[in-house]
Amino acid sequence: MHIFLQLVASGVAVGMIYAAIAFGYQLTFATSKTLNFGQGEALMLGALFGLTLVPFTGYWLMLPLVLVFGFALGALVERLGVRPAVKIKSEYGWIMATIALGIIFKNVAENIWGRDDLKFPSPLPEAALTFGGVRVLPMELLVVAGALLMMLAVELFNRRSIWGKAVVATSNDIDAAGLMGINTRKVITLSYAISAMTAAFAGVLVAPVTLTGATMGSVLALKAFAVAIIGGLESGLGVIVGGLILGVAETLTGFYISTGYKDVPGLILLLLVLAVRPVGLFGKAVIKKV
Amino acid sequence: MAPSASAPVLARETAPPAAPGLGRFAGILGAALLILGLAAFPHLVGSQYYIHLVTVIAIYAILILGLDIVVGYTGQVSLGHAGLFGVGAYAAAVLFLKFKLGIWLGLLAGIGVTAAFGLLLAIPALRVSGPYLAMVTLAFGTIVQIFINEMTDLTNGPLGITLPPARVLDFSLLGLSSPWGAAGRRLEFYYLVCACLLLTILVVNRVVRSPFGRAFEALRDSPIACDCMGVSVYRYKVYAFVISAGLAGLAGALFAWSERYVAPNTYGFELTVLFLLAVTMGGRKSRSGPLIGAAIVVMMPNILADIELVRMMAGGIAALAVAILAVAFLRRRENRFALLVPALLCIAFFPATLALQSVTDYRLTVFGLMILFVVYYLPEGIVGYLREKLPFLRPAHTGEGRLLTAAGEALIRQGGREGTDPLLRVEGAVMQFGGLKALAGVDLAVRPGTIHGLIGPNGSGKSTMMNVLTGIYQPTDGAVVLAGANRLDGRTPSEIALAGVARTFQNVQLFREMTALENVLVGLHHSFQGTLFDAILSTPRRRREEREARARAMAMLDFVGLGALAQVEARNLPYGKQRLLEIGRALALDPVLLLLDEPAAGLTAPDIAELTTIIRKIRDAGITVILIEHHMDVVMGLCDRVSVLDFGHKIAEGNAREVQSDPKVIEAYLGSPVADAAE
Repeated sequence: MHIFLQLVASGVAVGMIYAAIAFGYQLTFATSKTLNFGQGEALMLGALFGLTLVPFTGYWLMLPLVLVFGFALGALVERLGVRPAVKIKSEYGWIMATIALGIIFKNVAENIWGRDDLKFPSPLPEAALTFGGVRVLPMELLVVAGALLMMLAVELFNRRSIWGKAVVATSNDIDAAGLMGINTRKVITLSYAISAMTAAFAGVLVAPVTLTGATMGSVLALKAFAVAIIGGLESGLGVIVGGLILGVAETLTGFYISTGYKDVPGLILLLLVLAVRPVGLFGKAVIKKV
Repeated sequence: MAPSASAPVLARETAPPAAPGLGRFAGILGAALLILGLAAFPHLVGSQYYIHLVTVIAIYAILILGLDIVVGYTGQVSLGHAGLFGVGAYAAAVLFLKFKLGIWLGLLAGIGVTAAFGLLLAIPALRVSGPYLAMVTLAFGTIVQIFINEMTDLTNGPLGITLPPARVLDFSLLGLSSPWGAAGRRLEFYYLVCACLLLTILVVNRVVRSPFGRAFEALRDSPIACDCMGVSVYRYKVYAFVISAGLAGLAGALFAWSERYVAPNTYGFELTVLFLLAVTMGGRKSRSGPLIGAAIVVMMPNILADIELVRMMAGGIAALAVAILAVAFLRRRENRFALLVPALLCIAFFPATLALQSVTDYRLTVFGLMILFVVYYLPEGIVGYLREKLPFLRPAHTGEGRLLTAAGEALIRQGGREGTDPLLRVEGAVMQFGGLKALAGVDLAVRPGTIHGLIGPNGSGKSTMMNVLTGIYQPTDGAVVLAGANRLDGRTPSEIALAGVARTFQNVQLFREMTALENVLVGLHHSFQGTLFDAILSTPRRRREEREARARAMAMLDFVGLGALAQVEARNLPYGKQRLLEIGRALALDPVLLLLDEPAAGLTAPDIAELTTIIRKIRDAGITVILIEHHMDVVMGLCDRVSVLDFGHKIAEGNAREVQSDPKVIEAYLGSPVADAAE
């Protein structure tokens, strides 16, 4: 039981990272029905960019700079990869283009930062805290808090600011929003920018817990997609629950079966959910009009 | 109905802009050149290195031809093909490692096991498409890699499996020595791969030109219409995946024996992207495209390894970009600003290669840039681009069986039901969307051999009724019964279609990239009994069925007045003709009941006159028609009986005159006189 609780506790931290990335998928899917297949690379670039900054700025000052970096990166991806494809209504186009940009980012990162995993300095003490026998790293607490805060901030932005309301309006009905004078293209760019920003932020959050390197993003992004599917691509609460389910399932698998199979339950869960309930656990079925 | 001998057989002129025979000629010429080239290559170029290179190109081409079925024909993005390739390779390698079984059984196992995996993958993939499918297949590929790595007992884990040289023909079993000596023996494997490639081309050719291939294309263009033509999208996606996976398995098994070493890392995401690049760059929906694509992606790393060559090519590309840009700006072309970014990137590439000592490290970046380039500037690939520029390269298969005969009255099969019992009974149909009742307990009885009008103001539930009748919506409550005993509610659209209910759509849902003839042939899908093996082996049954179906399809096109446009792609037809083609396609189902959803919407007056004549002819042939329409003169002129819906309730029913003068109907359309007076 003790070990079980310990595993759940570490699973929660990982799960929140998945939730944060999945949240980013939701943002772009809501406005433009597209996803950034290079989301993992945005996370990886955020982490590596942060790592380069830390010696100059320290951990806390680095965070806003990474946010700005992620924001710009997302806007770039949207302009280069998504907008031209959406214009010609080519689903294949944006899928391939975001994948291509992801590959390019990864390859460039490999050439700049090398192929080996790097150690990201932890801003908090490395000694574990103990809660009723369950050991928790301070960094894990920061991950959970940071991810939740991030999502909360974006939600507040969407509800309170005029641009946020434009995002919500575009998500509900892009044509109507356009007719109401909202520049929906800019809104889509904005949603990509915010999406990559959350990913980059998730990158610097997770980097001290895991290792940092050019390949760190791919698997995270895929599992975050599983989370987005399990929770439903339209449901904010869904990604948090989905993230927790997956994070815990993984640490349990890693401990009770084998660490080699740690990535499997998420992917199996993804396949199962899509086979049984494609809209996800919290999603609503959409009626298609003919 | 077989075309009767006495029926007038019309030889039809099919003269599309480019003579179709030329395209077929180009195909045969290409095939001959390929066979000759492959056969002669080892004798012209002695170097083992180049022979191996061509072998790998051929193996990749086999996989990419299969991938084209999924990507090009059904229009789905699969990121799992590297995983399938790996499954095939490991199936062959493990068979050798554990049971010392050689290449032949390895190939069979590769195909079989991988096809089974394709089936497994199809189960979750079936319900989704687009980005979901891409992610599912990506997840599948990742799982495969993890399992190969972890199941060390079976796969040797990260160490991989080493294979001995392949023994293709074992003469020692016959007690003979090889007739072509040791040097010839080395070529056995090469020729085996070539044979597999040619066989693959043949099989893929036959499959995509069979009803299966048409179903694949139809489900890409309009899944919903595909289902409503009795072609189950569900089932044909599985077929496409399984065929594609089988070919990936064959390629994988060959690859294992070609490299004589398998290791998990080979079959990762990078390879999948490479395959997709090849299929897009070469050109989808062709046989030559995958060959070209395979050659490019296999040779690319070799070219990139030679920095001098890269610099020369980059220089050439930069010069070309400068030239194109100069022309565009001097002539003030419309697209000159759109060209600016890619052209500048191409030019910048040249100094970048001069600055770099080696491009090998940036191989993936180059691939990424190539994908972006292809996606935006060459979306139809090299072959697609050439086909656009050179008409004689366009595929000729649409003109296959050039003698298109229309076998007279081949039109009506199931119609002609008479009597007074209703053909279709709807009892208390309720369709609820959240809080909205689009249909609130509607009863409907349609007598056979009549045209039954269904009218009502916008939002009254007409189209909902249509969708309930054809199974696109499952009614919340109530029953739909065909011909007295045949319950339709709760069945899938394709089952309902096969039961004899055909429909057209409010916004035209044609298979846009297929010709008018092919559109009707998809409607005739139910008349094909042939299996996949009939298609692959081109059996007499398959050829006869195709001949008969084409004759009937032509008769149907004649019926709706499109005989002369049989070889025109649906998307190129004028709007009025598209509407008629939809009716022709629906008739191909041999329906007892035809549902027309606003067929006259957007038509010009002469088009409407043609349409009403055709609808009358359909009724006279014995097919019952339900007509939703807003043009009141069409409704009044055609319908034997009219039902009026308003807010999900049936408010009136009777013949056209009665309904027209019903005060409730007038109120529904024009508003109540009381309310008007109050204003």
